[in-house]
Amino acid sequence: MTDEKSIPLIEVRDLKKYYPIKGGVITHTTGHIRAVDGVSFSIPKGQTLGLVGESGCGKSTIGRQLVGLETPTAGTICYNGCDLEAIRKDKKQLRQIRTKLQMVFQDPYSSLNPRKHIFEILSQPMLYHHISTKASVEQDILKLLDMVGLPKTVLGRYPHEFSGGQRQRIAIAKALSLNPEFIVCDEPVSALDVSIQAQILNLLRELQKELDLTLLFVGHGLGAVNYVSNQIAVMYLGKIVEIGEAKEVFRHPVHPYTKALLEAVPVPDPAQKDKERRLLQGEVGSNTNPPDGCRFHNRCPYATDACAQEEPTLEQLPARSVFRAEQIYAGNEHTTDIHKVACPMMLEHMQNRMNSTNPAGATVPEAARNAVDAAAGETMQEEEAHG
Amino acid sequence: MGKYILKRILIAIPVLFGITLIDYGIMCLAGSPLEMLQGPRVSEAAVQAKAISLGLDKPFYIQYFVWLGQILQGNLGYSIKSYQSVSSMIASHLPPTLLLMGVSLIVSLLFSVPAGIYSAVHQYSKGDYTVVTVSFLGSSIPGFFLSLLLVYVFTIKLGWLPSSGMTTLGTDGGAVDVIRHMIMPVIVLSFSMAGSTIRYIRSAVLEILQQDYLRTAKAKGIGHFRVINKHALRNALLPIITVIGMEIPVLFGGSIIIEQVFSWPGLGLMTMSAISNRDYPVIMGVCLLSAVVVLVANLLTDILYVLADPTIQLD
Amino acid sequence: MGIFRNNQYRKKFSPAADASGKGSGGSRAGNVKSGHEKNLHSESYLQTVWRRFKHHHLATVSLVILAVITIAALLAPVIAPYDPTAIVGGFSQPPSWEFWLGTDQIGRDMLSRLLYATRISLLVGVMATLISTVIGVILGLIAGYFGGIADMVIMRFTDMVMSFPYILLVLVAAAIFKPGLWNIILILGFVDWPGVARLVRSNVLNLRETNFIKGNIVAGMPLRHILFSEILPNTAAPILVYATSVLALSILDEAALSFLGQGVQPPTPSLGNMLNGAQSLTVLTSKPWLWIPPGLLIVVIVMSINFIGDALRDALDPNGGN
Repeated sequence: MTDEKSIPLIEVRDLKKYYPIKGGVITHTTGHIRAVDGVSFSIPKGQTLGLVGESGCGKSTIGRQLVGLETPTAGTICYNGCDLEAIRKDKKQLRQIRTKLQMVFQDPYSSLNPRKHIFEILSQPMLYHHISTKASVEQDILKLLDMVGLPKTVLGRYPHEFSGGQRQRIAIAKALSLNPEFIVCDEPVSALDVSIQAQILNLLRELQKELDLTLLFVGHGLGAVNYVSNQIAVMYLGKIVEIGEAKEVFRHPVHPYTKALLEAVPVPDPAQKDKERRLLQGEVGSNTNPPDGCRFHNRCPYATDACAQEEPTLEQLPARSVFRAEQIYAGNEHTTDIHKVACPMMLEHMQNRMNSTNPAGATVPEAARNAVDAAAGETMQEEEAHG
Repeated sequence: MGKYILKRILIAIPVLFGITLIDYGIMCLAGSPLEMLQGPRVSEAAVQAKAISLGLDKPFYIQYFVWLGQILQGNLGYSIKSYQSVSSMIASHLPPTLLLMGVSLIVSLLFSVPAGIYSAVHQYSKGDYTVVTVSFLGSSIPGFFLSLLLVYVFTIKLGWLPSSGMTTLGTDGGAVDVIRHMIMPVIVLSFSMAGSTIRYIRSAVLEILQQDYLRTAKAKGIGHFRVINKHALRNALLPIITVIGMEIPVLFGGSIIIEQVFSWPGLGLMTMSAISNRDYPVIMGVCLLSAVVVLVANLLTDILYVLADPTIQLD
Repeated sequence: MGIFRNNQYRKKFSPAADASGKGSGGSRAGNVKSGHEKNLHSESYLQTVWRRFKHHHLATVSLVILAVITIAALLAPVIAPYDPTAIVGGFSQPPSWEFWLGTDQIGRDMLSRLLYATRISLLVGVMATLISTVIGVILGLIAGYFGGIADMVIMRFTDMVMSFPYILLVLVAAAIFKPGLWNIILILGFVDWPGVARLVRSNVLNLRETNFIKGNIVAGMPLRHILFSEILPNTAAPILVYATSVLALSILDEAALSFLGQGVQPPTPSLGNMLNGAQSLTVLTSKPWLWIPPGLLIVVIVMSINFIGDALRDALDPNGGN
């Protein structure tokens, strides 16, 4: 369990971003938009964290903070164990680290300078950071183009001569040109044609394996996020409500909001067309004055009075989740990491079901159940060690 | 809404303050008023005494505040040349200028708004090209050259119109007389204004005509004329407000030259003679006045804009 | 300036220069189906602009006229028949074979004076435009990119300068600083910048939010690169269009100032001060050759510049079609 992959490359603790709201006759701050309100996660090297949620939930803000486009209001961002805020004064070191954290933007039409041809766009940062020299830059760029699947004839052209998919390939090449270890992909495919989306997703996956990249993949399409991610974090109004191994969150969502998100995805199965889908009612709450208690309670179909009182914290799921049992049974032991949910009601509910005769548990073979118990013990030990 | 207007006024105050500062600074650059006094017959002691009585021995910023206090009381100082008070000089020269400016503004709008709308509605037609070309001529011809041409044709060759003053000398000048004197200056001022106004209105209306709601109106089968009349014109009101706001400073500047050419007894003529006499108190008084007028005009434009456009964002 | 950038890489990597084309593109190059994703057809930015510019016939004609006038003005010492300041003929002679445009009141050749005057007027216009554009661009960049207090101070100062009626400010400045060629250039240059500053500022505000600027910040590029290599080339087109109108205005203002006797001082001829004499009734009435040619020349020059500016606005518009 302590192999290299489990050392987090990126660790975010209690990250907050409040935007002041200006107003009044004499301009002053009248309130705050709490775009990100206390978010923690970590991404092991070589893995991908998918960040999903409705627009305006703060997921893009987290990405921008990670690459330094915005400064956090509070909280820490650590890269390789190094607090980025602490080295803010050391311009040289900061600049060096910044090149290791790159970003691919949502809209490929505005992410390339329209007045520069591709050679200039790609070569200037490499030359400035001495990643390449005047003599070798052409070779280096050709290598990059090969990596993202573009012919070398693109170099003399201007961005407007390319389609969205090609531009996104160039944008990826630009991000890769600084030899980053970590890339924030801010909804990189949502502005593209559906037919191109898969190509770009595949490219990202291949590149990740090839270069051992660590990714933060921000998106609102659950399918795309699930496809590229190892872990998924679901955000609602500036907070993470559920985080866990991608397949587990996807197959066995626990938080009512995650469930609703998944049910909102249309299923291409005519047999299910009459199946009632519980779509979310109501509007997203305000992030200036978030609802008291659980921020989701006013839209939650299971909400009780208690939900409006106490703000839930992320808690680890009981170890005997069905999916994990299956995984362990199948021998994929390293996937049994965390799965946390910020919904005490659901946790209690699961606990009760597991303590009573668990109908789902009956389908789990004896061997698997033993394995689960063993794994649970191990997880606990590990957490003690971390704490 | 009230909040927004209050805010705009609050922003205007430091600008106004800055304007007085620039005005005062220019006056100081122009030299001490004592230099005007000095001469063989004025003793050094008299100059000293005068300096103290004018407060010139005090530091710069105190002098500025003394001057500002005087201004706030309506005292703009005294002309070096005629010893009249600047405020009374301005008061007596202002009415002819306002008359000229007001009439020119109205005449130019009367021609340029319909021309601009016509041009936009008939985009790329021969009429459009003619209007646009004429409008370019309007903004390319120097006002004084057009004045000379008009005087050459209408006064010298045809003898129809008087070329100088506001009334014929020796008469008490009835309304008809004043109008005859006004025709040429008004033509020059409104033609040069119309140049930019026509093109502004044209592009504003073109933009409106491309809006979806107009396409909807057309698709509903509403006649062409009614579409423009009912839907487009009301929205063209905003650009007209903007144009008036834009033209007021241009008018102020333009009237200086035009009044000089036509000897129109207004603020411009007074300013030009003050400039050639280096009569700084008068020059600065006029500068301050016109800057304040322009500032107020901009403020009013902004406020009218908000009143006319319900969709505008107030922040 | 971005739009005049050389095209060496375009040539080097153009499809024609690389005959093997996609084959050498590498293993994944096959993913790019040129049939599906728009690919070929390339035309440099300048070519596109020129093609669109040529659609405006008046502007094309204006360009030719302005070029002829400029060349004639530049070559004035070579092609002028007489010394512009020398008395070479009788007083106020009407046009003749000897003096094509006649002579002025003290017997100097009008054509020669006109050529030299055009030189001076164009010089004043171009220099004043350069000065005001540089000031406006720098202030606009600072205000737009840094925002905050710098933005507030600069924009309030701009408001103040814009509040003074323009020609009045110029007249007052000319009165204080003594009229003269270089003073006029400096005065016009220092008064004309607010429009440019506002234009640049609003463009920078928009550009600052674009992804390619953010991408460059993420890539750790230095401030000077972002301001001058990324932002400025993208705002060059509107600046250029605006500068043409400043040029037209500067030439008009110089003419007005000199006409009023507060601009370029004789004996140096300028188009404005050549008209100064027409304020006397005898000149206006009986010697039209003394004031009509310089007046017409101003109109032609300014109008050509305005037409060119208008066509440039269309041609440089990134959203414009064909």
